[in-house]
Amino acid sequence: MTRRTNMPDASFQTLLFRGRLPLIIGALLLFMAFYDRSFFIPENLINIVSYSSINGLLAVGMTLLMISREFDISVGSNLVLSGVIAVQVASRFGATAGFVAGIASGAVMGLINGLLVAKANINSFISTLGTMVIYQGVAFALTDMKPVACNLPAFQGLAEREFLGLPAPIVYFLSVATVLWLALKFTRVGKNAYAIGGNIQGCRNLGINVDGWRIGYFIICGGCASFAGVILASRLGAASATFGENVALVVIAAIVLGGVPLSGGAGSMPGVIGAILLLGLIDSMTFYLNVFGYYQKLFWALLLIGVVVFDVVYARRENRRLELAELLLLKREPGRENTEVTS
Amino acid sequence: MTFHRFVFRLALPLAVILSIGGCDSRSPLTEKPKMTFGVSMSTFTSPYASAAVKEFKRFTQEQGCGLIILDAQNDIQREAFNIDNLMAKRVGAILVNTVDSKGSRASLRKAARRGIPVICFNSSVDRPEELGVRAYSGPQYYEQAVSAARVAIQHNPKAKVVMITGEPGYSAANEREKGFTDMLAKDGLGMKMLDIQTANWMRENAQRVMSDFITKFGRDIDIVYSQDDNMTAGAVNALKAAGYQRDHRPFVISIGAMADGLPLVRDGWIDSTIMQSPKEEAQLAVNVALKVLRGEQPETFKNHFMTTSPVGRDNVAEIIALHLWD
Repeated sequence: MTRRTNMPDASFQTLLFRGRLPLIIGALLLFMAFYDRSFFIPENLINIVSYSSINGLLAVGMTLLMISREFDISVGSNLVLSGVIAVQVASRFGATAGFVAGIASGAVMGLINGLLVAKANINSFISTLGTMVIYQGVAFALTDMKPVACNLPAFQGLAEREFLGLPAPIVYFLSVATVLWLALKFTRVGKNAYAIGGNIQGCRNLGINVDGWRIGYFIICGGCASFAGVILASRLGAASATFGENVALVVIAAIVLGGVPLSGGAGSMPGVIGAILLLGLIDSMTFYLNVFGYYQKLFWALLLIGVVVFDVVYARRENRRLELAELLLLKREPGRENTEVTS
Repeated sequence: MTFHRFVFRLALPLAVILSIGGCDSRSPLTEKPKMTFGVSMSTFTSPYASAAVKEFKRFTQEQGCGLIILDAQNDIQREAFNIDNLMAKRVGAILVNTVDSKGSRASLRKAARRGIPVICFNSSVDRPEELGVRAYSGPQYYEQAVSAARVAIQHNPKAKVVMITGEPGYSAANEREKGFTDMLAKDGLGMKMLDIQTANWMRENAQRVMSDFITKFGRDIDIVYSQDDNMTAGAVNALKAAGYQRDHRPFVISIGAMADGLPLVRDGWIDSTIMQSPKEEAQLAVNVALKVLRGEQPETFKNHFMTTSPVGRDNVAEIIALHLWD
């Protein structure tokens, strides 16, 4: 019986935002519609998505990894270092070489993380904390702590061009997200992530190359982070070793909000994309509600916690209603018990 | 959750909003007669910033203007987001205390190309005139450093100096280093620079850097030059901790005349600092913006520098009485 298996269970992460995320986003938008209609000028809506794109790329890249029960807190440093490498290579060998070098370096950083976790068996929190500091240190050394600039029009064109009136970063983000979403849903890439996150020993027993896949997820995560870094560097025409600190926490928070539990094994791409958009929306709301500077962070955090509390309460009520419905159904249709036991 | 359910659930509230007329591009703000200024600060969490933010609020109100003031949290991406938001809000002018002399250029150029007057205050970017930025207002960091170097040379033309710098990448840090070293190369040939280290504008870091200097060079240090009073306060702490007495210690030169620095000047732990009032700076920035908007500045780009004068033990009482940092 499908209803019972789909029923939200009581753990925090799986309850979160299962299907309610669009409702929450809708409610916030509705509120803004009454508060300040200028919020809905296309320019602002595009701004929100455009600025969510960088964190979005980091998040969709890390989703596979978190589903397989690992995470990567070095993404912020990866973003910074690949941006620096892209700028420095581009100034010497041209824009295309810069892009390639930037993204390749990110994939290598992912590979190193993957080897440390899968082959050396170091907990991903410790190993990526270590590489976070190393990557940032390399970026400091390469730049002498000073911002580096690349004014080649071709380099800045990557992020400044538009497709069908949409800024390029949005298009890159949505394309990568779609590819990863399809991969997660329909291919072995996704199925193995769920399986490894759910039961790693079981997967080993089944003969799945667990280590290989995990290294692969780290490379995807690193590649996405460096793509984000290259886009950021291109948009700003510069890179600096101090750009992307504290990014990892926001990204991991977004993924958990989007329904991927820290213990792995579950979650979906639309949920993560929705959570990233929600964070961007809240960010922009603090601005449009004209919250004064010093209270912006406070407001942002309160709104975020408010959303989660609402969600948990709402989920509990829905859960109870489902249980009630189950009970009523059981009473009306005797003989159903058997089907439930088997499901 | 399946994707079509996601879309379906989003579609309903969206439809309501659009039917209310959400896509109306006339902002209520632009219909108000008063001018609104958009200000992006590199950070809100420094003594300079909190004094400047207060003064921006007070002074724009006094001028009958609106104000949107945003914190870039020292993050270049957030600064770009803030500036885009201010453009979407159709503010009359954008005043930016830039985060990074290179990394902030792209956002400023974008705003200037839209025809919104852009004014940099307190910190600027490389070659602002090329981007269409109309003005810089604020202190002339290079000159501050030159005055500091003059004080140093006057004190002891054969001194050995250590320097504590602000965050690399800030125009203030770069200029306050360049102005000092240029002046030494010109008039202070007998002087020797022992070491230059950064403390990122942080007092704790400065205390650590100064302790390292004392361990490394000991009594060789004749002059300590630190790029702002906040860091100088940390350096003074390190001197005290190392057992230096008020009257037997290296000569201490600072910049800023900040709330933490002035009492130390009065008590005799800092020998010289350079005046820089955050109130005057905020007022100057708004006045420059008004000037540009009224068409009273014919030049495409102009520097509007503040007056900066040295503060020593002789005049510190008057400066404290001004309550610059309240």
